[in-house]
Order: sequence, then structure tokens, then C-alpha cells
Amino acid sequence: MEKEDGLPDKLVGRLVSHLKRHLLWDSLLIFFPPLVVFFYVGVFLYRSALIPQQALIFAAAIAVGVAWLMAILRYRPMAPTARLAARLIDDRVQGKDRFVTLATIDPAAFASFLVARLRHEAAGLLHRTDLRKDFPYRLKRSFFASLIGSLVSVLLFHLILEIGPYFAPRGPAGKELALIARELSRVPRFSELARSVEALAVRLREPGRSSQERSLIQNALAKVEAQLAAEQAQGGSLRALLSRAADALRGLEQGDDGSQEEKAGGGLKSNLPEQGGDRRKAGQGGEGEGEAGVTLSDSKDPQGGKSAEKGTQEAGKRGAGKEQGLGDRPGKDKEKRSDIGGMAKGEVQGKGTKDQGEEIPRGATPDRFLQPGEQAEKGVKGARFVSVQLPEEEAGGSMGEGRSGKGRGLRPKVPVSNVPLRRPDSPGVPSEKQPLPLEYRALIR
Amino acid sequence: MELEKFRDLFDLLEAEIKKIIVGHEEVVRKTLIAFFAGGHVLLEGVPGLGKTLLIKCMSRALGLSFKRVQFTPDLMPSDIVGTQVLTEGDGRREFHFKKGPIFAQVILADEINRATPKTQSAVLEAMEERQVTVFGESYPLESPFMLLATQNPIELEGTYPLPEAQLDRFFFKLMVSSPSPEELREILHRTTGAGSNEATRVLPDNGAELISEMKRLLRQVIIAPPIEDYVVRLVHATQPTGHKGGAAVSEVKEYLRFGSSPRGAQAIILGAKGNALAEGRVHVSYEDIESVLYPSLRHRLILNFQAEAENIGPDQILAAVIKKVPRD
Repeated sequence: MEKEDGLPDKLVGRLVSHLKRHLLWDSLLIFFPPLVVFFYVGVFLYRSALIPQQALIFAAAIAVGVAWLMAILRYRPMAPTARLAARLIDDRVQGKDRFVTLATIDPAAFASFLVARLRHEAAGLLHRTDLRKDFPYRLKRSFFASLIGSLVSVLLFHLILEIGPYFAPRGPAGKELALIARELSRVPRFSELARSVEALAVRLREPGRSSQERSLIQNALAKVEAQLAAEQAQGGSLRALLSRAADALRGLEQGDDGSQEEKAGGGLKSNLPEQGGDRRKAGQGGEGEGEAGVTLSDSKDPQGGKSAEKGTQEAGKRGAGKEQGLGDRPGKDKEKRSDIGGMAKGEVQGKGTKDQGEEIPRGATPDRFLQPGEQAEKGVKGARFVSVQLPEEEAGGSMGEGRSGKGRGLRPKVPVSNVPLRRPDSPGVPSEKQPLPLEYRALIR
Repeated sequence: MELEKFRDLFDLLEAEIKKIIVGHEEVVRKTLIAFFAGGHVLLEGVPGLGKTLLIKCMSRALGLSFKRVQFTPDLMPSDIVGTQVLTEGDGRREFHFKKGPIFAQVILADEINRATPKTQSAVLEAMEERQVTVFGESYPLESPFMLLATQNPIELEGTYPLPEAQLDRFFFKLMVSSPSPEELREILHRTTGAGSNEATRVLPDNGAELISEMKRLLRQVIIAPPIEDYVVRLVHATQPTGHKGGAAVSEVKEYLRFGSSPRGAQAIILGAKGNALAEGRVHVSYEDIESVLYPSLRHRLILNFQAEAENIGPDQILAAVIKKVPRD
């Protein structure tokens, strides 16, 4: 009988432990989805080489600590008391507050025979409850709210990742290349490739671009493309990474051309917005000849080349087309003129890779440039660019103007190069052909 | 005393009274609870509902001396407590105290609100101190002592409503309602036939001793601290200004001038203990508290003019209090 009389107190104690476990689970589960999201974001950023491994580990440790602390802070004030547990048992077994009374009284303050009787009565009700059945664990609404909030956070994170680059300013030219190199270095079979890309990225951090760096870019691009082709043939899972590397190198290669021409002061800057998925589109360039001339480039296939670039070029076309439409308005024309002037002053130093929203007309050099005022046989229908060959005297008069932005000479009417123009077909010479949107035709005349 | 013995005696008393009184189970039970808790009861109901009969039956069943005082406007205090009378014997004249009806163990103060306040106050000392003082000399009352007063809610002309101080001395105020048709049929059957209409004594010869043991047991009943806290919250909730100027229950704020005194809380706890014993338990539950809340507090709430105008009674306010005060 004495043994039986101790059971009500034990049952209350067991229920308290049971409820404490429930509460602990609740607290942990509330903070679990945000923690998972945090890890996911961390690993994502790490795999994208945006954060180093040490930072990831440190942040993960801090996050686990904070989540644990929050769970404890939530758990402590809500920890169930014996009184609460006793009340729950009373409700369950219809104990008429026997368990509450037993759990809260000081037995010494009451007649022992009455307390013993109360314990006995409570013990007689124990068979009416089973803690596991009557108090099962159920996921609380707070957990579901946390889960939904976390999922929304993940979606927002990806959304920001997608749209962020359209708003965020770009970093230096070699930065992305360095990040890609770091990602590549995690794959053992790409370690050599990673080293060469990393070396290139280091060199690109220094201002100025020599022909040696350009050849390095071309070499790296060739390696990456070869690797990409091999990967595609094998159906490997790292095609996306290699494609990114190839895009970045291609962008640098083309941007390098642009920046080289900017250095020469002959580049015309377009204010076209970026279109399509490729952020690394080519810069503008001009092609110099001994005498002034104009040629038209067909927009149908300005690249005349690689299928891999086709999508990029198509997107570029769309952007250019849009811009051209806008250009019909006088206000827009004015804007563009001021843009040209700004470029001539070199205010946009280093934008060779950044503002590459226009496609570069490629293809064979025309047999002959049109003379000023001369009309093309087919007119300008279907053409999107005119390539302008600047006269030597104009080029010579623009010394000091250009990329550095510190020129002291008179501002030319049209942007001109500050380097002697060479024949475009001479080896190792960057293209100096300047794609010029049609709306600038008036300038040329 | 064992719980079983208490319960047996209580059940016997209840059954004996119910032999005479038809219906009014709650009134009978609460009256017995008040008796064992050592309190006095104010019964309110229209004439002819059996209030006086109930009290007579109870005193008879308990085997206690019983006196009835019909309160009228010309009733004097000395008519209740007694007076000094001059007696002559052995050639000497002496004043002797002649005890009044208050010296019985069970007193029925019938229509107590018809006497003047001066007379009404004559029973105050007896109710609280269990003694009366006449010409500077105190006379203890017999134990157990219980005063049961009745008052008529109608015919209020020429009455003197009991002062708050006196109302507060009543443990319970019980409302005697009209019988249902079935009860009325049973009343007619019992009272118009040839059968006896008198209760018999239930308690043995040592009844006073037993009663005192039962009273002791009632005070030993276990009450948990959370339940005591609940009583405290309930009583505080009847204060129109709230606890420490805090917000009170809106009905209380709107319709009460004054809330319950600490005597109200004492009455709730003792009444709840009696209720628990009557139900065969040795501990007080929340239900016990709520079952005795109305008789314990309804006469301790002082209504304001708005409540009178809107015909709001204390029971409605107490219902709101129970509803709005949480148990935990």
C-alpha cells in the first residue's frame, strides 16, 4: 500500500520529464529549419567560392551555438512544472484536483491520515492514464511556421542571387576568375587548370594589360574549352563550372579587346542595357585604316562564329535592337552623345569587362570602306553597326585623351584612338574596328 | 474522526431533513455545511417556502436546543439577549440576569429585516463573539451556536435592510426558491396527510462532542496552495478598483460599490472544505470553491445605483467573475 501510495508523485514526475522532452523538441524544431537554411546558404556560398572554408566552419559553429542558446532561452521559462503536469493528469483521469493537491501541498502541514488517504485515492486513479498514449508528441504550429519561414528564406535567397547581379556593382576583372579558380581547385582533375586560371587572375589584378596576359587568357580559354568538350563528351557533372570559367575567360578576352581599344581612345561606349543571361559580353572596338571609311555590318550573324556564343550574341542583338528603337527619339540621342563624350574623357576606366552590353561585329574586313557621303548599294537596311575607320589626322590630334581621363588636349568631335593605327590584318594587333550604332551616323557625317 | 464517520452522519442528517423538506437540496446541504463550518446563515425567500420548517428540522435532527424570535419593529434588544430582573428572596432584592432566546443553540431570527437596526445589532456580538454582554457583564453562549435568519425579498415597506457589517457576519446567504410542480405535489402529499411532520434526532447523546469533532475535521481538510490562490484572485476580483488599483472585471467595475471582505474568502474556503467532506473527499477541489462562491459572496457585494436600475443582481456579477478569473 505504501509503495502504491508513492505512485501518484512518481507519475507526476514522469509526466514533467515527458513534457520537458516535448518542449525541448519543440524548441529545437523551431530553430532547426532556420539552422538548416543557414547551413544550406553557407554551403552554397562556400561551393560558389564566395566564402572560405574557415569562415563556413566558424559561421556554422556560431549558428549552432546561437540556435542552441535560443532553444534553451525559449525552453527555460516554458518548462512544465509539477503543478501543470498534475493538472493535466487530473483532467485526464478526472481526479478532481487530487494530483494538483498532492503535487503542491506540504504534507507536513496537514493531518497525515488525510494525506495518506488522498495519496491512496490518487493511486486508485492511475490505471486511467497512459502517458505515452494520453500525452503523445505532436508537431506544433510554431514548427510549421518556422519551416514555412525558412523555405521562404531559401526562395528569397535564390531570387536575390538571380536578380542581385543586375543591381550590384561589378568587382574587378580578375575577381570572378579567382573565385572560379578556387572552385576548380576543389576538383582534383582540374587542379592544373585551376592553377593556370588562378595565375591569370593574379596577373589580371594589376592594372594594364599586356599582350602576354592576353595570350594567357587565350591559352586558359583554350584549356577550359578543351576540358569542357571532354566533360560534355563524358557527360560529367562539372559542365556548369567549366562553362562559367569559359564564359568568364571569353568575357575577359573580349573585354580585353575593348579595354585595349579604350586605351587607344577609339572606343565608342554604348549605354545599352545588358540583355539575356550572359553578363560578360564583348566591349566595343574600332578598326583603324589610313583613311576614313564606313562599312556596314549585317546584324543577322555578326559573330559569324561559334555556336557556344550564339545565345549570347542573340541576347546582345535584342538589347541592341531595343536601344536602336529608343535612339530614334531626340532625347535619347542627346543622352548617348553625352555618353560618348564621357567615354572620351576616360570617365569609365576599367569598364572594358563591365559594360559589354553590345555585340562586336565580326567577320571579314570589307574590301573597301565607303567614302564619306557614299551610300551602300543595299542601303543600311538590316545593318546594325557601322565600322568606322578613323583618319590618321583625327587620331593624331586626340593624343592624351582616352582611358586615363587626364587628357589636356582639345576634345575631338568623335572619339579617336591615341595610338597609331595599324592595319587590322597585321598579326597580334587587337581589333580596332569600332562598332557604332546607326543612330550615331550623324556624327560620322 | 474518520472521513467515513463524518460522511455517514452528514448523510443521515441530510436524509432526515429531506424527509420533511421537499426539494431545496442545495439549501439543506449548504445549511449543514455552514453549521459544521461554524457559520450563520441568512435565508431569503418569499413566505411559505419552508424556511422556518427547515431550521426547526435541522435543530431537531441535530438534537440541539432551538429558539425562534419573530423580529418586529417594536422588538427590543433585551427581548433577544435577555435582561436583568429584580428578584426578591431572603428579604433581599437582587438583580438576576434572565437569558433571552439567544442562549439557545439554534436561533431562528425570522424576518430579521423587520426589526430596528438597534435590535438587529443586538445579535452582532452573539454571532461573532459567541457571547452577549448585558450591563457590562458577558455571558458566553452555548456551543454549538448557530443563528439562522430569514428575510422576505418582497414587502419591503417598513423594513430595515440589514447593515453591511451585519450581513458580513453571515457565513452564507441562501436563496430559497419556489418548488417545482413535482416538489409541490410531494409537499401536499406529506403535509396534508396523516403522517408525522417532525424530524427525529439523528445524533446520539454525545451529539455536541460529535459535532465538535466534525467541525475539527472540516478544518483539517487539505487545500492546495493553487486553490487558495484561486480564492484570493476571486475575492480580489470583486473589488471595483481591482488589486492595487489594477483593472477589475468589467461587470464588477460597472455595478459594484464595494466588493467582498476577507470574511468572504474565509467563508469560501471553509464552505469548500465542508463541501469536499460532504462529497467524501479529504481535499478541496476547484469545483468546491465554485459551488460555494455564490452563497459566500452574494450578500457581501454592495451594488451601486446602476446595478439597481438595471436589475443586475450579485449572482450575475459573480458569474462574470468566475468566468473571467482563471483557475491557474
